[in-house]
Amino acid sequence: MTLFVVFFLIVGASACLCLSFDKHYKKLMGKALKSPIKAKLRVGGYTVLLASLVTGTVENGWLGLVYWFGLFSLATAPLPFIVAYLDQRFRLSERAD
Amino acid sequence: MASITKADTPPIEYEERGFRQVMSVVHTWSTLVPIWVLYFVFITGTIGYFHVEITNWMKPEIDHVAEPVDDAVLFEHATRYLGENAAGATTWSISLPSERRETSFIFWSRNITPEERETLTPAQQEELRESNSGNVVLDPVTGATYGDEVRATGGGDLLYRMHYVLHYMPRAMGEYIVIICTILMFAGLVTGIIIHKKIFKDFFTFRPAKGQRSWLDVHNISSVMTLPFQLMITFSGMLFYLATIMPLVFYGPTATFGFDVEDFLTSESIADVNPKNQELIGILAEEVFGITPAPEAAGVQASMAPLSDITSDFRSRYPDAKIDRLILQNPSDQNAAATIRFVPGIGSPAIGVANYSAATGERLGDSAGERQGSVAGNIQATILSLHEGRFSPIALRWLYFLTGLAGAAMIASGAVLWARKRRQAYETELKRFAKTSAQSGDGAADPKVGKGVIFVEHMNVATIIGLPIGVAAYFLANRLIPVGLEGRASLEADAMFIAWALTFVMAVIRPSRRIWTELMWLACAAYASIPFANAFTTNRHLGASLPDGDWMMAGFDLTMFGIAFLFGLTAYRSAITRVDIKPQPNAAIQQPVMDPAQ
Repeated sequence: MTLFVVFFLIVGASACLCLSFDKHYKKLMGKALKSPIKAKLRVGGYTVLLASLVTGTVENGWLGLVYWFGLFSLATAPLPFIVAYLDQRFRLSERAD
Repeated sequence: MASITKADTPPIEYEERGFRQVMSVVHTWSTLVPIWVLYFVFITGTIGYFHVEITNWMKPEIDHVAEPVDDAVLFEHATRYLGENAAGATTWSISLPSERRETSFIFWSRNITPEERETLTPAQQEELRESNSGNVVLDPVTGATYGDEVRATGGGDLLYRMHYVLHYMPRAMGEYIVIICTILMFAGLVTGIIIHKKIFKDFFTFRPAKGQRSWLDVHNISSVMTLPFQLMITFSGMLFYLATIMPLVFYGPTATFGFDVEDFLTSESIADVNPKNQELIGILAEEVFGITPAPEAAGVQASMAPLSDITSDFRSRYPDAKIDRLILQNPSDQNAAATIRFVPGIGSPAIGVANYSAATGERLGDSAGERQGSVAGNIQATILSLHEGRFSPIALRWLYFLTGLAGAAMIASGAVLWARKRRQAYETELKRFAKTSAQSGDGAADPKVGKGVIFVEHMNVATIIGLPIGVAAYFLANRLIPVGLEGRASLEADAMFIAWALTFVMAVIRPSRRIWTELMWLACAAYASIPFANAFTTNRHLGASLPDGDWMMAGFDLTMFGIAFLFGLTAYRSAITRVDIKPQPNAAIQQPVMDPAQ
């Protein structure tokens, strides 16, 4: 159960961090990223990422750290492909232009 | 007929290059030279995380054990068998079934006493050893043993072995090749981090349908997202060969204590080394690993304490430790000793040892309690445990497997990227050359690319897709080669390499535009056929294994279907993409010109 929580926390954190980049935000949201939102996404992303690390290690100790790195790879690796797919599918960035 | 040669490319002054550019060259060549060996090592090593499960699948004659078995029942069966068949042995070893290995592997051997070493000839000593040693697989429920009816196979263990000793060559040669490749890989990782300027900015970036830029993104994603794993696996891989990489550092201090390295390396077993070395090895085993020497046999028959009481006592002390095996020294003797070998978990010695008196059941001490081993030993053991995933539950094992595949994808995308860069650079140069020679009236340029690039392209496709096809052939051979055939285990391995070699032939004779898709379809067909081959040749197919809850067999078959699906999907997408790209014949020219020497 903890593993699923950690996994989805990392997914959420990665999504926030991904959106905190101008080009990705424009691709996914179809509009330019404003500075206050960027800061909130970045702080929120790192906070949730830290929370996922704490959740994993409190439950499983050192083994939780090994799990965390594995889950981090599993959660973040598909994200660039999903962003690219959504951009191609909905073309939101073109609408923004 | 004019052609482009290396001489036409203006030389690049090394002084003009910055630090990152120099590192870029190091990155390219340190990883390109060993790239196919590294891919082989990564694929076989990644498969190795499931080597026990694969071995189980490759021995379908060994029945599925549905329920966990009580230790008392197992030990009763094991000691009865050993008492009847191995009474002359001085060591009995009984492995405990686990969720990964449902049966018990028992083996027995005989040590030569100092008196026997003096009185018997080496041949007689060998005969004594041989006649009192053996091994057998035991069904923990029924007590039945498995013998010749189980097919001979290298199993998953052979694939696992291949990742550090390769195949068809002496062990030492294979090890040295893997060591050199690992060092180059580590250099490649470090230089890769240095040259990746926008490591955070490009973290989530993938630009599809952009030729080599897309490949670069795939290379970056597969390496950056899994970087901690790649660094750990490469560094710990080197650590395995510490003594080989740095022999003076390793063996130098041993000379201070009078340790004779040559005697140690040339002796057939620990029992054969000279007395001084034996003494030092004993000190090392006790101080670093907590292994105390077994007491001499008293020569007085005695009944043994129930072995299940010993394991119960151990489990009450270490509820999280996984017992690997129980070893009995001098069984049925007054001085009989029982040693439990276990996996204590991360941050502890790789293998824990707990000692008991087998005659009384009294606890004598262990390496996980008051004995923690040295700090350096624990760090090394932890890093090596991380490499092998020794402590890993099944979920973590899957994570290891997936990140291992990402490592293979990193290597594969790097290899493809290198070839695409060169081909594109050649094509751009050739078109420019053709234009200038047409203007000057020298005739058309030779449209051929360099032989080295073509060779790399062939090797890339034959290795990246061909090796998985070879592995599928290995599994298929396990089911299709007759069970009683002489040398079938080595024939299975031969099937793997023959299939792999045939993909290289295909890569040479088939058009390069189609070969990737064709081989991926072939891989899809090969993996999809494995569960069917299993169904036609055994009674452990999905129709039986799923209702029985035999997840070891069912999991393997379903994974094969999954891999087949992924290959099929990739082949389908690749075919569609090729059709999509076809109407744009000049797409390559629109790509930015790359520096051929980069």
